[in-house]
Amino acid sequence: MQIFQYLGQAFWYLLFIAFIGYFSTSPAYTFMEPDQSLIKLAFNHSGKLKLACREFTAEEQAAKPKHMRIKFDCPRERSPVYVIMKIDGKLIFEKTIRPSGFAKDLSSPLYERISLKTGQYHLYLGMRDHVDTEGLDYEFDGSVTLAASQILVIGFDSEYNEFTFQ
Amino acid sequence: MRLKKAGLCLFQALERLIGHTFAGFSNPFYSLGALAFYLFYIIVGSGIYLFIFYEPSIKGSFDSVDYLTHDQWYFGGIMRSLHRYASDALVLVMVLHILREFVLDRYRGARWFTWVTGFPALVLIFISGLVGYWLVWDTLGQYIAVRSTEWLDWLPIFSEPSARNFLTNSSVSDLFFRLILIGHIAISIFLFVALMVHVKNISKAIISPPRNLAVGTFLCLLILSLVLPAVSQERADLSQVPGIINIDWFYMFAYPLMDRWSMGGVWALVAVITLLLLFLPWLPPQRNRPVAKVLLEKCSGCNLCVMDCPYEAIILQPRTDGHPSYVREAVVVADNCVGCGICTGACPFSRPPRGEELLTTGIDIPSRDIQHLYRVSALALEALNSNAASSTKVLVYGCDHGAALGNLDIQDIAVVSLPCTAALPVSFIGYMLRHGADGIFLTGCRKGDCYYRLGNIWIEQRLSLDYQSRPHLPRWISRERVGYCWAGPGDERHLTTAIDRFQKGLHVASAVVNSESE
Repeated sequence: MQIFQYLGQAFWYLLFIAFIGYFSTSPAYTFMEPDQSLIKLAFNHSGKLKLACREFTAEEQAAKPKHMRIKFDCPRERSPVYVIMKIDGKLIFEKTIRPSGFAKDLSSPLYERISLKTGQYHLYLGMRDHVDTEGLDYEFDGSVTLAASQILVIGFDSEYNEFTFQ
Repeated sequence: MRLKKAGLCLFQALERLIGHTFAGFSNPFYSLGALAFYLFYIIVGSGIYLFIFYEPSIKGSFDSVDYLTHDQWYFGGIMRSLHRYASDALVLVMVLHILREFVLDRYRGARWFTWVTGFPALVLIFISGLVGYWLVWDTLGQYIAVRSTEWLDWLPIFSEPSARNFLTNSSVSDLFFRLILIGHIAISIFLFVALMVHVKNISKAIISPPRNLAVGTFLCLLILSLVLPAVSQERADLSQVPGIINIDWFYMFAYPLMDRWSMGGVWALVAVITLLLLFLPWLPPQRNRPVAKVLLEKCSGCNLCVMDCPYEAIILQPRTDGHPSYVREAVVVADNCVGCGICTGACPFSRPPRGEELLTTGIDIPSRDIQHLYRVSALALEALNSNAASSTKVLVYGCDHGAALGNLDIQDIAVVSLPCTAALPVSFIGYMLRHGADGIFLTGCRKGDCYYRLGNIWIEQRLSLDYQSRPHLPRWISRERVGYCWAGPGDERHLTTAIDRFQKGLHVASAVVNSESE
């Protein structure tokens, strides 16, 4: 009788092994098909200051305590950053990113994923980082080739004011 | 409600099926909590070994794990596999533990604390497991790192997206691996603390499974580690999309949902599960929960109720009534009391009327007090005694959570049900035998699965001849006249057979006594 008990235990233990062993790695998950690639549009760009500095008027200066009197009023709030992306003439992405921070005085971060089939595309990118600008401040218009499973990271170099591709 | 009932039926059927091969405490369903602790020990033990060889750097992380897996497969590889599979088994055991406590309604009332404090442990297990996969830094680690941070970024809590840390291979630094290694270890320490808090209100918490189950589980994990060693996937490369991945479904079941749904959808799912788990004990709340009451004039501060209480609901404190002989008194912590009555069964003052002395106890459950127990026992005895000719009159004491006593179709028995059978003071057994019962039969939840955790352990100890330090059945009472059988819901046939066998034994014993007297 005890032999049946041991056999029964062996059965349950085998079931346990099979369950853990299988679901530990299987079934395989297809995150992205092999003929797909990914564009990551990601940067952290600070928009231009929204308002220029202005000189305080004499009345304004007089209204302030003596130790707080400064010559210029320079608001720290930055302009939102507007970004547009077209692929083969089709609008893929368009967004206005508000500056972060309570005083809206920090950079405007962007992180977007665009999944595409492998191949060559005509890419148009545009960005505006000042509220007073009509049209766009920075643009890229050219072609990109995406290899199978490639991740193309598009950033923005604020020093040279140009889009970067990695 | 219907779902809960269906779940209960499923669990009961499974437990009965497994119970044929794993008897009593060895039934894995009765040791899920203890198994979780045990798996945690294996994870920590194997993790310490892996830590010795692990190199927290971009290149070293993958290489060091690969070295353990292939060059040191005979030990390092096994350790890695044990670490991995024990973690997976932990999730399985934990989920079963949660579901089982839910369907058995063991999470409401005073048990809310244990239920709710299990939630942080659950979260920490998942975080620790996922962070552990990052450490390997293969395509799976890359996938988890990127998708997890993208998921976190959905919440407006970061000033800039944390997923930007995984944009290119140069974005990741050695420091990152040191940080997540420290995080992985720190989370495990927090997890241990969370588990300790989880069992805080449980006295004599069982944090290691029965030996045969522990050995069996370890052997299973070892066999799995040898047959199917845990291996890394390809080295992480942030310039490439990890296309087809062998994900660990125990930890990453929600990740595919991030791709199918939106990140917000997965957050909503997590929020719903979180709220449900945290507020389940009050959906609906357990009302009219009886709480034990100390009757100070009969309490000697002997500590027996404190020792037997399964939920740390009784403490001793200095005497408040200036009793000349006793220095301490029992005090009930109402928030922890589940109203099982085990304390009444443990109290040496709990005894039926003796001569002029009235029925007494030192601690009682107001809604089902010792007076009530005496009344129903006396009525049952009266019913039994109406058949004076029979020599197999058996008074059966059972509990509200075991086999359905009302369904027993046996002659010459009378049944009394208690919240927990261990609430029966042993003095009642002698009393009922003296007043006409030929035998006393005790039953209750399946062994190892007492609704109030320790009930059947205490009963077996109290009936044992060797047991001296607690209230125990006096030696002069023949153990042939006292029987017990543990039977859960659905085990009525098994219980009927056991009572029938007990009655036959009584019949034979009485025949022997009669022939000797002749």
